[in-house]
Amino acid sequence: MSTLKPYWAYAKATFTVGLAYRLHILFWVLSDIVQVSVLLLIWTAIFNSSSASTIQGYTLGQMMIYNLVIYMTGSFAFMRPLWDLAEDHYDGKIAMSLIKPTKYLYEVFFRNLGNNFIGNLIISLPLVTVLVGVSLTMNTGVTYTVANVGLYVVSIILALVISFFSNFLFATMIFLTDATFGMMQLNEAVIKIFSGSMIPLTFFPGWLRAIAEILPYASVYSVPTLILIGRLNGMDLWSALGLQVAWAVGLVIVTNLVWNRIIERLKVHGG
Amino acid sequence: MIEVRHLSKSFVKYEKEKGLWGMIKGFVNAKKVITKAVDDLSFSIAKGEVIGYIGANGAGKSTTIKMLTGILTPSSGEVTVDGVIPYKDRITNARNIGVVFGQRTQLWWDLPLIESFTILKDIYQVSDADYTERMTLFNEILHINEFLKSPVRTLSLGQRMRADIAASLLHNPKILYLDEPTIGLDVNAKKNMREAIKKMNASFQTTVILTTHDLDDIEELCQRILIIDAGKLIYDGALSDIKTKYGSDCKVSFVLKEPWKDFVDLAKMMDVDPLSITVTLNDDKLEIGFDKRNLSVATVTATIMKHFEVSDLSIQETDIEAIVARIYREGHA
Ligand SMILES: Nc1ncnc2c1ncn2[C@@H]1O[C@H](COP(=O)(O)OP(=O)(O)OP(=O)(O)O)[C@@H](O)[C@H]1O
Ligand SMILES: [Mg+2]
Repeated sequence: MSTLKPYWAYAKATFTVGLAYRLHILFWVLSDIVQVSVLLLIWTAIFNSSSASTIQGYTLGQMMIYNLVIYMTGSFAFMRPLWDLAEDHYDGKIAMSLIKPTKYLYEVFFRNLGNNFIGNLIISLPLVTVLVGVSLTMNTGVTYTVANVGLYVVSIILALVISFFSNFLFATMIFLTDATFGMMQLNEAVIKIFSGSMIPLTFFPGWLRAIAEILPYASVYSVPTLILIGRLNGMDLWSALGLQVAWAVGLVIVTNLVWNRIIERLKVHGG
Repeated sequence: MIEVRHLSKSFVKYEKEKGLWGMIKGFVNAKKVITKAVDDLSFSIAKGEVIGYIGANGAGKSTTIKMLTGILTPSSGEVTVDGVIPYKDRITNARNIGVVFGQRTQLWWDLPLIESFTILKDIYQVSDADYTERMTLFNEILHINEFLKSPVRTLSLGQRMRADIAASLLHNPKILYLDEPTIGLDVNAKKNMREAIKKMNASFQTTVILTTHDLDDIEELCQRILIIDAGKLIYDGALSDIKTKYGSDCKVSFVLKEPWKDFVDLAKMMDVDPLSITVTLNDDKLEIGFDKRNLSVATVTATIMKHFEVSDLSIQETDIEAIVARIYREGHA
């Protein structure tokens, strides 16, 4: 544990900074509430205008739960090293990280973990309470088994790792292209579309769905969500978890390799 | 402690032409420009030395520091710092060094200053006892307690710089790199900063490498200086040597009661080679430049006073500032 202690300091630092910006957090929560509410309203409208009571196998109640759970999942697995890299590279702040007795890649991981904890505190955990409350009082058509909750936790941890490393790997392109803002936009757009957080991937045409399910974004958002609400079972479940493990391991290895190459050629801005 | 052999660093820049069309063209074939920021540098530095590393803007000082600290990988050549190759073993090297870049900070901008110290304590795994002892010492030398509870972003430049120096020393590094640590400080703050550096060097035998454009820093702190120009080392030696080499230049200025009317052969009067002195005359102002090894200030003033009525006079010895300006200009020492 003592080798991790220096890194926890980074997590503690971003966590403390995050808490210092209470107003910022308030707006963050508000914007999230607005986004989720809009999605729920849209789905209600869609179901009301349709004669069928289920669409693609979802009832309205199940669709509502899907949206809440995928939102919670995204928040549990939220990691955006891209923002750290963009800022550190832009003004040369990375120099101050490279003189520390810690590895930059893992410094950024723990910095993100600190932020992630704040997100959990203000979004994920309240959402858990909402979900529990809703499930106890209403018939949503979703049942949670102990096994699914357990597997959800495992899947979330894998999602966290995939989320961080895939985003870091993507972000290394900043060092090669210097196109920070474009990268950020592209990144968010790709996540929105391929993660299943806009619509469940079952709504995609077959070929697109096949692609989306293989990409790491599904492993971060869609897979844990479907596990928790009991829509991944048997072979599908194990192959989805297997794919998560493969992504996690592969991305850790590749990101380390790529980053070690980049750091050798790094140009640090400012003198 | 520090060994540098034939160290070089080149930067490749892609120059884009002006305007929209230039940018579009730039996507396809931007002009490749190579800058040799550091060019075949060799020197070695012993434990406990305080080295002044100076040179004009863009000479390559910061680039050298970045290679010594392991931030940049050299294009060629070798560096070892306390037996470690910095860019190959960043983590070991990082434990040995403290770094202050005057225009950056390693403090957490949004947190009270004290938090930065506790975070750094964890990062460097400093024991509680060492931490308490060093924080007490830092306060004695750098007076940081008065703003320890203020968020870093509210500190004045001088306060922040003091805090940054303390932060760089928390793990008691063997080597301290200071890249323009007095930039933007007022006279008093500069004095305190120099005091602090001196005390740290004396108490811990810390090796210090200092880049600065303030030559008073150098005079106060450094026994030895390295001068770099266009990436090349042009001087490595004692500050006193360079002073005796160039410091014998002297200038005496007179204000004459009556303007100079007829030509007077001053060289002949003082019995020296006319080429060894410079004479400039502007209305009633007369300036005579000479080398103290050929001519004494006494002879010059006596001669002039004998022939002219003088209302004022002043003597300017060459200071380090002038010497360095001359070396930068000439590109060699
Ligand atoms: N990241 C970079 N990319 C391209 N060129 C660079 C980069 N960093 C430095 N240079 C170039 O290398 C040369 C040396 O720069 P450096 O910052 O080492 O100078 P310096 O001696 O520290 O100057 P100053 O006194 O102004 O701080 C300059 O010509 C600079 O333009
Ligand atoms: Mg510089």
